[in-house]
Amino acid sequence: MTREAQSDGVIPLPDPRPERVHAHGYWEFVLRRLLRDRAAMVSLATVLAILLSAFAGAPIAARLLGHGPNDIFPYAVDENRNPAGPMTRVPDVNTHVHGGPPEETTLFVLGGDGSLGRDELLRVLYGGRVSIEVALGATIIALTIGVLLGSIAALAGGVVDAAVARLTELAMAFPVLLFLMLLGSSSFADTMDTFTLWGLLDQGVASIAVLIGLFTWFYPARLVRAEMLSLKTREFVEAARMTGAGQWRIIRIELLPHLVPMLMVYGSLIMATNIILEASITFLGVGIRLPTASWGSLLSNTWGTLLDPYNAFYLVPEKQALLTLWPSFAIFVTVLSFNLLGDGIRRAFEPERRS
Amino acid sequence: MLVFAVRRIVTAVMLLLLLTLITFVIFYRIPAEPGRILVGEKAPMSKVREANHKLGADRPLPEQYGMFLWRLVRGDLGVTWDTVGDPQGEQHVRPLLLDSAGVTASVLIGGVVLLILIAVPLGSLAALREGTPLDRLSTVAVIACVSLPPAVVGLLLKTFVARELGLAPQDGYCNLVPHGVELCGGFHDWAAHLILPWLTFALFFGALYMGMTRTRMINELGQPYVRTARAKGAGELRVVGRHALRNAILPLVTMLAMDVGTALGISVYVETVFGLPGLGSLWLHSLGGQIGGFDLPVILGLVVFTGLIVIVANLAVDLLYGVIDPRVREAGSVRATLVR
Repeated sequence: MTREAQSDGVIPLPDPRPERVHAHGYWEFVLRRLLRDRAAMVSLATVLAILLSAFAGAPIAARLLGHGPNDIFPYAVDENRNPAGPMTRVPDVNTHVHGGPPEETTLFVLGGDGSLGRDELLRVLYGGRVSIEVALGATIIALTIGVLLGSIAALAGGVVDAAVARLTELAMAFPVLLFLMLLGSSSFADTMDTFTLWGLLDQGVASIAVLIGLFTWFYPARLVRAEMLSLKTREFVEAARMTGAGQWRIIRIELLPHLVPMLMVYGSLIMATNIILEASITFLGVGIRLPTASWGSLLSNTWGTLLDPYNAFYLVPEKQALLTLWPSFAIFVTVLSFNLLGDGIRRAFEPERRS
Repeated sequence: MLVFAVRRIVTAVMLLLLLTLITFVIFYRIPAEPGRILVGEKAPMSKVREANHKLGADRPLPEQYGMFLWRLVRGDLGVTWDTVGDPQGEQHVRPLLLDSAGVTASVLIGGVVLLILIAVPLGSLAALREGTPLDRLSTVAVIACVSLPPAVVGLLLKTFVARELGLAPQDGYCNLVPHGVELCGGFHDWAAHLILPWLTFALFFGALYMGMTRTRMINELGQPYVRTARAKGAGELRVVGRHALRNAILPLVTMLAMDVGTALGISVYVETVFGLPGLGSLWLHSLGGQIGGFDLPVILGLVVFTGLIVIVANLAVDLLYGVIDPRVREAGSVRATLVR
């Protein structure tokens, strides 16, 4: 019955024009997988939001509130040197320079930052800018050195490879603290402080970024070396060589593009580590110097630096907890998003490796 | 193999010498008057010069370095500068270093044990329940733990667990073997004072080691030998515990050896937060300008000692390269790069 009905039906002729087949490229697949990964997208959105609020939001907030991150408001501190609480209107000393208490007030959204009475919100925002600049600069430096040395070691092999391996060990065993101390006490730091890439960076960023970069390149270098070692024996490299491609062409066209996925994944993870490093170094008392704000210096503002734990004691515990919370929260969210983003990118690039 | 080993050992020694030389040069670039350690901040310049002479700090760089090397060959690391000529007895660097190393070793070894106790079961569990909410949750949880600087994690633990809840002592160190003169000692006091430092340490490295265990475990569970074991009728516990886990955690040993440098760097933060007199605290004291001045003999002792540990660990990994598992060496620990 049904068979007859079917055979009675009109059989449509196939369309003579073949349907246009769209070939999906490698990058398209990667992007699709990334877009479908909820954790990765949430962390990407968070990273973008943080970047936006640190770089665009900070000046806007300063403009709206009418004071800067380094402005000092004596009225934002009470007689026990405790800072004003959140959402306080503070008499604005900038409006009245001569005599008498100022009538106009200015809003402290997150309250004061400690005994000096600076705006905590602005310092968190501007501090984020400094911390991210340091982390990004250090990441770029580390990846550049890593790719260069790793590739050279893998491609040249032999003595060069061994030399790079020993250099790596030297960088690993090096007492970075000593170097930091030198930086903190010599004219080198002062020279570097004035170097801001024509106003692009904040003061003091360049030296810390260079320093972190110089001592974190060995992990990317090791990874690049391993990757290059396996890449250079692959068939497509051999094929390219057979068609007469020169050494440089093979490196440029066949080898380096294959490093991009790895660099994206590890770039993101190193970013996360570097933000923690900046905070740790500054917390130690040898990183970004006051009055420039960074997330590390905001932490040391409440606890004192580890080298010199001074001003933690006058604060009432609630104020101290609150003032620790803001920078800690900022660091936590930023680092977590960068970490999860790195994991997400890795999942997008290597769906078959289930890790 | 023997030639390779000898060559590696010779380069290791040269690396160590290079490290000390760089330290000397850097030290010379720091514009500090070492003599002020002895005579104080406000002493006149003539006194400082006299003190510099007593310390030997006014001699030319090559001469000082030569003297250092000569003493080093005989195993003598010199006397700390702040006790030179002290009538109550000079403090030699070597015993100071060994005492501090004991404290740091307590922190690191206990921390590693706690780390393994946290990371391996959690990683295995995540691997067995791969793709489930449990897997995702544990992965995110451990990543969250490395998303704060170790110093902050330590301070938070100290503030809330020790000060507010009173579950552990806030800071200080007790010897494992009581000396008699100290107020505390013995295993219980020792462990009680170290539990929070251990936790700080384990939390910092946790994500990395758990992730590694998880990846390796997933990998091992897909291997034919696991299928064979299952086919023979072995229980799940036996399959995971006896067969897969053994192979999965072997590379962690190599990773531990390679993370020694990072671990020593972390100890600076952990020890300072919890007031432990270990190598990290010694670093800060010998470097810390106002506190202790720049104490060159101590700094050099530390450079030699920590450099030796890192280089020997790397050497061991290199020599055992094929013995354990060559695959891990390059995997490295990108998340765990902190200042040494």
